[in-house]
Amino acid sequence: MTQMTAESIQNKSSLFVDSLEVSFNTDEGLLTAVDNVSFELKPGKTLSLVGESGSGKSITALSILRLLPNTARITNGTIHFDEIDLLKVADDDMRQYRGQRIGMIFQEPMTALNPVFRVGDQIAEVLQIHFGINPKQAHNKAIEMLERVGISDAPTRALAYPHQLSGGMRQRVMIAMALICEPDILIADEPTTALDVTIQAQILDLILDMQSELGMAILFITHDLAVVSEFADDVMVMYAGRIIERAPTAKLFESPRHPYTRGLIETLPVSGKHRERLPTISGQVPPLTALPDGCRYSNRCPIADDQCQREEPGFLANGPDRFVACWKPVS
Amino acid sequence: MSEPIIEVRNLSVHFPAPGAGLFKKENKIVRAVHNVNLQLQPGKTLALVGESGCGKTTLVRALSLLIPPTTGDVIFEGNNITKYRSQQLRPLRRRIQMVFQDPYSSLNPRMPVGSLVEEPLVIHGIGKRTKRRERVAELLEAVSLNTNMMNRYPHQFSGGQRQRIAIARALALDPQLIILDEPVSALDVSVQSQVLNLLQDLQEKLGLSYLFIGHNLTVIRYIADDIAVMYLGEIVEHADTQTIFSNPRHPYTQALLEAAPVHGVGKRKHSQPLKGDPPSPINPPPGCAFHPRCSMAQDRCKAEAPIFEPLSGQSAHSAACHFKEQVPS
Repeated sequence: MTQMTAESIQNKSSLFVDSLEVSFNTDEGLLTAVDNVSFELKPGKTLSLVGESGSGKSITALSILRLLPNTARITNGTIHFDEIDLLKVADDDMRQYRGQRIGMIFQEPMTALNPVFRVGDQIAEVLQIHFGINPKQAHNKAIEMLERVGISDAPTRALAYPHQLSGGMRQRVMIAMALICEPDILIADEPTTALDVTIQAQILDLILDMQSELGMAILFITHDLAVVSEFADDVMVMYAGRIIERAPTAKLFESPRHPYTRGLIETLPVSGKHRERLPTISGQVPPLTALPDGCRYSNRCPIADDQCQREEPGFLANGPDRFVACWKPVS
Repeated sequence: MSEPIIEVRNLSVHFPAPGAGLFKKENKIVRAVHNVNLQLQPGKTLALVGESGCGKTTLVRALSLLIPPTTGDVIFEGNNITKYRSQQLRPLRRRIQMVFQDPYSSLNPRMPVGSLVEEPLVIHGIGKRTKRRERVAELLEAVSLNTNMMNRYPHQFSGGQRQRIAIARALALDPQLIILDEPVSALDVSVQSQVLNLLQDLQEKLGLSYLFIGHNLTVIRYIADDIAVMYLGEIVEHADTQTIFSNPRHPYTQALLEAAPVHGVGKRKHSQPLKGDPPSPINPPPGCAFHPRCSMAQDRCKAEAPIFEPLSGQSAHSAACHFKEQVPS
């Protein structure tokens, strides 16, 4: 494995999300799907965003690229990148960020790739659009990139259509496409969820290798705590649209402060507990239309009291480099 | 050892391969399941593990005779049922039930929950309407769902609740064997454990046998008594859960265990992940099917297919590898 060069990191920019709020126009009125979310993506570092489905992880990611669905609106906050607020950039100018400076890979490569174009052409297209490189050169670069992401016999594979490749190979193509412009930021939304464990291991190793080579910052979105634990430098846990805890990975797993984080970690089956009863979190994630008063987790929390049901806790520092949104953090 | 609830002997399922073009025929064979031997003891959980496309689903479909096996036998409670006609299979269908991965697509969205759970009873002509309704209430209670939810539709339930409905439906006919095809993979973490607990409670209470198909090794380690590892249509290793995890003898099992992420062990170490993808079952490699991806493959592996047989002195631990006794663990 190549050592991450100080140089490759120096050339990269950070991204700052501050007080982001995203709302959806629905029949039930305006619903806030992402509420007051702030974080920073640093070159060479991986920040993981964990949460159950519907917690707002993907919406947070899509806001950065301004790829939200039509019913959604960013109602507050800033996203600074290179001193520029991406939320104020004109639609046309977003193109120089999307794909070029900020790359993204999605969960299901089959739906993210165009089924009627050869994969090599799809990768080459990125270069043609962003850098105006001529088609022949772009094609050669695409093949080179396919080799870098570990696809054997790249010149032949470049001529294949997505359906002719396996799931793991398609995800490699996606990664090649996302990284060919050597972006500063890579957003990976559940990149391995649809893959088998052995292929998942290959893809995770590949992303880490590419990170040490290119020095980009990664926002890694997943619901799989085991993957997070092995992959991320820092973790943010999201619940019903808010970040409820943030900590360096090892610390989060060692001593979770928020009762929800703690509950999630405890419910995981672990070795040595064969068929012992698993702890559970009662109830389910509330829909945005029916959030409880006070803390959003209060109706499921085993230690909630009056205050929790009345007032929403702020997201406050709890020891060095840790934050938690809880009135009664576990210590 | 008591009589197994279900056993398959030398079971193979081969399909004709799709042709090269839309209308062209090709005389190739997809070897979806090849020469599989398995036993499931009553009241126990056997897990079937392997990558997608390795034949897990085909195997359970053949084992429940939803598709006819090409060769081999299926023995259910001591009777060879392979050659049964559909008429004869009908009473057996009640005893083997299935729960599928995705509770969003396996429940009819136009049927209220009460009718969904009642449907198997209606199809098999069991009980009068009032009796059946009582049974439905009983079943919903058994899976910890409120009986006053009977008139609601699937979309009004969360994923975890829907999976409970699917389980209640599978229980309706008092089965002995339930095939669980990735039953918790589509669920959120916080409800996974609820469903796993429920499955265990039901097994204890009703003496059910489970055939559990999965890919999440942490979940499998937790719930299974025995594990069979499948690769390209064949069982490559079979032993009790403890043994599979502490002393895996097939290089593929070892690779699977190594690839599985575990929480709380710190940052990922670069493992030696398996290279490439599983080969095609249309044209399986000669010799051991795993040799192109195996780090320990020798010349012998390329030429000669290993036999699936017990390790010396351990009748309950079998593996299909020429070097199963030597492979370092």
